[in-house]
Amino acid sequence: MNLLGFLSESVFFGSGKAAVVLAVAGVVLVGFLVWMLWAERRLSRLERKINERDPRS
Amino acid sequence: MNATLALLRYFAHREFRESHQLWSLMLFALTAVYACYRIAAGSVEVGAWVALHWVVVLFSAFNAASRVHADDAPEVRTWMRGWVRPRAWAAARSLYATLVLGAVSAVVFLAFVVFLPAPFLEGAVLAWLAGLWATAWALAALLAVVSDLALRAGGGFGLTAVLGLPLVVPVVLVSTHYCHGVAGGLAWNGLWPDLVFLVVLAGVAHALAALVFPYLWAE
Amino acid sequence: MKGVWKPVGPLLLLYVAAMTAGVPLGPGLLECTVVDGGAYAVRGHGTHFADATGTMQVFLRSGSNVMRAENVDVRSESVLAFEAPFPDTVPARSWDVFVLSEVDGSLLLENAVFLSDAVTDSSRALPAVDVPTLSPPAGFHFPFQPRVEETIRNLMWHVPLWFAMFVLAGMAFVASIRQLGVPQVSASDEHARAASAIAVGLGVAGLITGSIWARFTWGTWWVDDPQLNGALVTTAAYGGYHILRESVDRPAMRARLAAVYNVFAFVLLVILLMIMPRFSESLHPGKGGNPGFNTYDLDASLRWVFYPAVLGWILTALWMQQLLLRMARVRALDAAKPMTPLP
Repeated sequence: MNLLGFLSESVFFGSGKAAVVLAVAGVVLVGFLVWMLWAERRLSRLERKINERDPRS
Repeated sequence: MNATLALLRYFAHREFRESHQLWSLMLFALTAVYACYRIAAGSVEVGAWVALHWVVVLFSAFNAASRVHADDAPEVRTWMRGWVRPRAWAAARSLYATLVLGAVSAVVFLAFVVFLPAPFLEGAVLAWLAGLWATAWALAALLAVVSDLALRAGGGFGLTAVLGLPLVVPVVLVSTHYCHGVAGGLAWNGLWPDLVFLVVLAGVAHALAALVFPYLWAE
Repeated sequence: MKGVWKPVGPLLLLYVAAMTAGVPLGPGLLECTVVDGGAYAVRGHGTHFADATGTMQVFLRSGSNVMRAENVDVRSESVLAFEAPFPDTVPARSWDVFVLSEVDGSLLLENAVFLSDAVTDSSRALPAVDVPTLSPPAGFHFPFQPRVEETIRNLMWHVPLWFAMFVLAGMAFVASIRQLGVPQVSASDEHARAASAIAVGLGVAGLITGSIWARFTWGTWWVDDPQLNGALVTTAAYGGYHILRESVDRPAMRARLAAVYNVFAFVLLVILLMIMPRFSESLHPGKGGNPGFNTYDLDASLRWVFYPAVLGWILTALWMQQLLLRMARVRALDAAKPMTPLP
């Protein structure tokens, strides 16, 4: 039995709660990775602007 | 070595010139023990006795390390940098802190024995004192550097406690394990590894202090 | 191409997440209870007893003594009943149960049966029994471990977080040593700050995942365990590093004091997390005589997910550290404050 089947049997932590836990963890993880990607792009854009403004930096 | 001994003599002279600092330290230790006696309503079980004893020793150690002397002032330190080697200063400071904390710990132990008698330590006093002084050695070496750090950062007792508490945890863990063993009547076979580990921790703390103190010394 | 390594970490983590949720757990036995009539019943997890009816064999073992169970009765996919013909005098009171099935392979439950009233004679030897060997069940699955059960999936998150924390703490240590080698503020100070910040975050995440795992396996959110205490204190020490940094205004003084403290914090990490747990009693797998997880991945199923998880978290943490560094640099350049350029 895999985890998805395990969850559907409601053995783990009462009915539905484990799915909520996994969903929250999944959202946090994916959200964090998306934020990192956004930060990377924004920083690259800012660094390009700074370099254009002052090539010595 | 001569420089370290000369500095030790200087610290001793300074201590007696500013004897109020040492007395305040002793007073804190004694009143803390008395407070434990009142809280315990005159009697405690072995585990609680050991725990209370070590809490008082630990906070006495932080008090001892956080004392500020005249030669800690930046201008005096600048003048001293001209003629004192930093490693000699670090070694003397750690050793002196060990002596002071050793004395304070002995006073704490005597006070505990007076207010809250410990029949379970009969025949094991030497083993207890050995652990006490090994702990004092390790704590003093670590806290001497941490207090210097906190002083440079402009913090006092608070910052010393915040920075120092995590660093002294290994010492506390090993020494309390040793002391619970002594109080529980464990044979020497089961005790000596902890004592050796304490001495090793003290050696590591001294070595680290000797390595990093020159960087604190330089401006 | 610069930065091509950055997506590797998150992609590995997505792979790990998918595998952690999707890979099934191998079959195992959970408990053995006494049922009506003096028979015993074992309950399994992920078992297929009903699929192997007629070929099920149950044995009881104590030391080198093995006896075959009788009247094996499959009650469901996960419940199996049997009778144990114990003699009047037994070699020992505690018996393991193992179930042989063509579908699930060999399943063992240690100390399943305890005969509290039995007369024992340790010199007693039972007649030898021929026990067939069966191959493990086919398919890719995580190994079943008693008590840990499905929570073994947390292995892919909890442990790699700590590996990544060690790496970042080590980087901060090296950067601090390099900072101490120069009198003025150098880029190493920023490297140490960024690496320590990520190390604290990873430490907190490790503590949270560990606490959740402890709740399921040990029944409580926190226990007095050397590894747990060491992890908490180490994370607190690195938190203290940042408090120290905030307490000092002068950059050169801040850099030097922080570097000194970082050296102590790293030595503390080594003592508390690598040395002391090996010499003390611990509930943690791999410490205090407990078997480590490496004894259970003979089919390499865990390795296929665990090692990518370690690499994924390390790479992601390195990317996070680089982001912090670049943020600080951009802030400083934008404010036209002089700052040593990043190498």
